[in-house]
Amino acid sequence: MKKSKFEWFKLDNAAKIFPGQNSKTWSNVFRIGVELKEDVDPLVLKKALCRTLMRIPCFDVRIRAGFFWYYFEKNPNDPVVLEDVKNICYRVKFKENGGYLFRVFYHGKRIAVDIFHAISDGYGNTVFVSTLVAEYLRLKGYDIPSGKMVLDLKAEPTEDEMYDAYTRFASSKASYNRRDKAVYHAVGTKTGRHMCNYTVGIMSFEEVHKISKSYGVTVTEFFAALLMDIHYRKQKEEKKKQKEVSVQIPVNLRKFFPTNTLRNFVLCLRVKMNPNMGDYTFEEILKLVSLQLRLVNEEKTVNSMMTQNLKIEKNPFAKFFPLFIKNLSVGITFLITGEQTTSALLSNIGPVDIPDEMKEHIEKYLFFTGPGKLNGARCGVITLGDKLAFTFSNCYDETDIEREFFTRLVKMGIHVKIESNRD
Amino acid sequence: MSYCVNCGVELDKSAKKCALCGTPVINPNETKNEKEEKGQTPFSEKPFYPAQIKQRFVAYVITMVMLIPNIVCTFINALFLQNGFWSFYISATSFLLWVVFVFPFFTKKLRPYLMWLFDTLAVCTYVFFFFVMGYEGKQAWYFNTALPIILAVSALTLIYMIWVRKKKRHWVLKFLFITAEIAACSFFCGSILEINYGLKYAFEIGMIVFVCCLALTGFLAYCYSSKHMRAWLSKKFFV
Repeated sequence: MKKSKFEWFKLDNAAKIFPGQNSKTWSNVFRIGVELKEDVDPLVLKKALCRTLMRIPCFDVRIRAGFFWYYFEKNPNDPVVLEDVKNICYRVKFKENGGYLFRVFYHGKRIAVDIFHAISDGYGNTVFVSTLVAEYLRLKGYDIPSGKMVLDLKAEPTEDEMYDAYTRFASSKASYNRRDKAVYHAVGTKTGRHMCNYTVGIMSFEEVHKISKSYGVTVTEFFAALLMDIHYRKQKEEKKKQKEVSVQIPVNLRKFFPTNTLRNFVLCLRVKMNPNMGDYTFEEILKLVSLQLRLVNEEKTVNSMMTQNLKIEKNPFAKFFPLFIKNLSVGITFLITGEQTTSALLSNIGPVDIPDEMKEHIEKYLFFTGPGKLNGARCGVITLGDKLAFTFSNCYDETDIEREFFTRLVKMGIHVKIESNRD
Repeated sequence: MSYCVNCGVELDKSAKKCALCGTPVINPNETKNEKEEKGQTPFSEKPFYPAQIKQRFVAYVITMVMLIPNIVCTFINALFLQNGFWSFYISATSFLLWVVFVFPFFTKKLRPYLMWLFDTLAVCTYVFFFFVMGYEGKQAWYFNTALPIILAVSALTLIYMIWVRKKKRHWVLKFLFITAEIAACSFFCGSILEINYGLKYAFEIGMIVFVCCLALTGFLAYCYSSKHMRAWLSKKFFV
């Protein structure tokens, strides 16, 4: 029998670090959730999942360890759908869940997919979830066309959706060296093991867009500046010695390079401010964030960053180290640098582009970034139509950051509805 | 539709309190039926705790691993190298290590007083078997010197444990308590050595440590209680 060309494949450049960071208590997992207008039927969902996986082979995999690197191979097991749990994005173990690196959950009207970051990024998972929900709705008897972020299940999976886009597009002759130092962290009382507090603020995209436009910035820049301002003022109240405040912003590289890959193609940018330079107003912070982000958020700079990251992977000296040494060094590096260099994370997937026929059956999309080890403010933003969902993942019991964030929005005239998994 | 009076945000209809500030949601006009019809929570309320390796299992494994060299040594000592009870020392040391480090993992929850009792008994037995058995005339040393010192250290540890567990103490107070205990311990050890063996220098060393620790304790206690002293110190010794 002729073997499929997707029988096994290598991890992409960004994915290579995630298995090394994975531990018994923490994994780099995130979630895309969809709230429908009716209760979810798990049997139909399971059927839809099996059909969707056949179309998206880069999700139908399990991870295996080679001598030098991890690799993905086709998963022979059946996928399962699970009843949702309170502790969203709990850690992933490679041999659990039939070897699948994603978990499909249902709860009331919600369908959610927790995914290990090694498989795909926010965009890839949104496409996967949208295709899954579209198929679910079709099986429920609705007429949902394919197109936009919904893949056609009758079509064959293409090479274009499967390749490592980093390797294809990293072509810069310059290398971008990022030297970051330890920054301020708003710490508090840690939640229990495997637990994380999630608070979702649902608001009107139009209202947020109008306010950010009045400041002359984008929605992402506005949220990043607000987060930075809150951290900056909190540090000022808490400490005498001021550290830098930094916000990490993952950027979808598909907007710079022509690709339809469903695997990772994202790069993290950082904007930071030094409180020792003087007192800042919110408007000044907005300007600072906007200028810094626009300076690096362009094709040539991100290409040089990608090239730099690939250099580490391609280094002949590092390449031939056995996998366990690579894992050890990734683990130690993550412990030393990792979240130490960021005060908060802001990941904005942006507007979800799905067919209008499908929108009629969907209330909203939700995006949960996984729990941090040190960061209390890891935020995910996703928009469907006029509904923008802003989610805080907080590994501490204190709510001061999210409370300040949402009340500041309320004071600006934005209507915010709160949902949370807190007791 | 509920709003938080503190934060101004709208809350989910199933919410019993504001997720941001904890203000309870109270609607005096709400009927009993309305209360029951609040609907499903947006998030599942059942947490999932991934399975972990049981610590008792790990303790069993460590015990088995520790037993193997002991059995092998006893076997060799009994059959081949019959020059004294040398394997006994290995077993005694392993037993002490097992009681101190492995035994706590067999209990379901932390039992500090029980552990204290077992550790004291294990140390007393270990010292007896290791230094007294097989040596003639060592019993007097054990009962006059070793045992009182072990019991004194153990009693001081117990007092510290009771004091710390009673309520949360400031780190300065803990440090103060420990220095006071070191003072008492050094005085006791010096006295015992002088009474039993006439070692004057041991008593003098004990007294030096006692006086130093006592002075440090007194100074720290004064600093802790006096606001003026703390202000003066921070003025004179700021960096």
